[in-house]
Amino acid sequence: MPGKSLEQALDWIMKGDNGKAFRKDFEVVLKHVKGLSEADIKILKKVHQKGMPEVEKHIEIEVSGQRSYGWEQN
Amino acid sequence: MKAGSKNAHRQEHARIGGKPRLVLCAPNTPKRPDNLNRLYTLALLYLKNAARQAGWECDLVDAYFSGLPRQETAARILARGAPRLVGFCLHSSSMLEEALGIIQILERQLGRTVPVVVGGHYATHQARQLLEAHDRIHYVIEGEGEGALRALLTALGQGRIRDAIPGLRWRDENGEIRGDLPRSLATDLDELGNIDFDWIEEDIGPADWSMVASRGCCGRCSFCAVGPLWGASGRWRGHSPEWFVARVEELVRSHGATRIIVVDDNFLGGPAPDQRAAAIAALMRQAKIHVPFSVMVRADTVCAYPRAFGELKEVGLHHVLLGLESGDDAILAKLTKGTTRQQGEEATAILDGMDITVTAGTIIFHPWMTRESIRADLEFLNRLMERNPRCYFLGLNELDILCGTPIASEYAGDTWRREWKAADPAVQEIYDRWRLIQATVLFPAMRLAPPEAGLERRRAYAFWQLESLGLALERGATMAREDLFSATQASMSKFLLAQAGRETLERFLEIGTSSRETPDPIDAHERCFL
Repeated sequence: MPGKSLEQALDWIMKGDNGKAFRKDFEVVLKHVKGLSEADIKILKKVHQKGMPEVEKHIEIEVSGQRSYGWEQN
Repeated sequence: MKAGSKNAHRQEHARIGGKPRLVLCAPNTPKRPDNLNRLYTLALLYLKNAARQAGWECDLVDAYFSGLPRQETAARILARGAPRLVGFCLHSSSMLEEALGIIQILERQLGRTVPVVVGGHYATHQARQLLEAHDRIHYVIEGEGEGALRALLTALGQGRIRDAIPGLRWRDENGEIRGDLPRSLATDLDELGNIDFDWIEEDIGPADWSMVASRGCCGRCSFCAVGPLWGASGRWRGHSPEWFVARVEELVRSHGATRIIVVDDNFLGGPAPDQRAAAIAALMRQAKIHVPFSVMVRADTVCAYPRAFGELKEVGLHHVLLGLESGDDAILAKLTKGTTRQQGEEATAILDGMDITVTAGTIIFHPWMTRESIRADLEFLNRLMERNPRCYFLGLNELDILCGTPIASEYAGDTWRREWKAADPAVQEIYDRWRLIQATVLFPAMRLAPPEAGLERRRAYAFWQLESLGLALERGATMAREDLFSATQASMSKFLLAQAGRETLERFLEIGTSSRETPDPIDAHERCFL
């Protein structure tokens, strides 16, 4: 099923200390999850890129805007 | 036309048919993506009535509702020439900032000072500070606005303020701040007149209509700003059921409303909630109106008067917001909520059993939070949603300690929002990490795949938040920030893949990775009172 391997790879990153291993070495996810397409790998590379360096850009940023409990739903 | 004659021309327009003219404005301010409300500022409609009663013309500019930038807001304020007085609703510090920017533009365009009156939650509790710090603000109305505005306009119509006006502070000709008469409240809300919805000429959809049926709340929650605004905690005043249903009928028959958000802080806050609900339902049946509408009520009201909600369901009630706040009774007691976890569970089950959807209001982060209290809240919300398929929450909120509320008196200073930190630094770190997750993962995702898409999407976002905060809570002590974020990014990627597809995921992953993009400057939290 298209996307299944990508889902498995994301699951793998979320599990235990795998996030740490993935952050240090992108290739590690490829060793553990087989059958990833080029498009999947491209997405995983972006997930890797959006690790802490990305967060650091936001480190001083707080969450803002008019907040509400939300009166409504559709 | 020269600038001077242009100004004279504009001033001439300020008196139409011999009447002085007031323009009332709700300044625009950013909303968080988990704020799904699209509400016009009902206060403007009431205040317009008060201005008319004082013999003034009144135009409205709801920049908050229409999402107007400053320049456009100023242009609309001057659309019929220079008004004699401009009023702003200020519910937060960011609205003040926006209003000051708009006033500067007005002054530049008119080449003179513009008399300004302000009111609203923020203005009520910062009245003296506003007059001391901002010479562009001339009058501040505290609390309920209609009576004080009417009296101010009458006085200005006669030349100047001669006697003190209840609920009004102002700076006199000598720069002295005056006015300390206690505020007055309308004894009969119906006497404030029939609010006129005709002014909303643009961009309102059939499902965007909102209404109000009461003011205040019978509750005495220590954090709530509603009681202090309307005079006292625990005080509730309602429009008559006849007044309310007549307005609903007008919205449905004359404006084609297909859904109405009733924004009362407590829709059934009076002494006999069942009788009020029955009267409203009977009048709606009599008028042959059935329109989906949503309300906010207390959990103990639902538990004590379940039939009231059955009656309202029959005439269209489809959604209820319950301010449950916490699943920890000790925290509920600290908040003087007056309800228990069990009541929250019962109320949700009663409404869910009637096929009424429920938004659970939450306050997870506060000065007393511990690992155990957060764990209890997560477990409570998880169980609530698993047991009730029509229940969800939008965000895991923090406590705002706002000026004027009972709880604020326990904190030093007179600022609008009191700063607080958790007693346990390790728990504060969990909260700090959660805010980063909100800013860098959750909210960017919500902007691309909005929770408005439907009940299932909202529930999915709610479950994602429980899982992610749970991860930060349980593994935060042993996990570096970087590793937590790798795991959270992966988790959100999986969520978006399932909820919105690969294209949306790719757009999400692009955010912030381009060197051209810089994050929005973001200020502190703001609760929406609109």
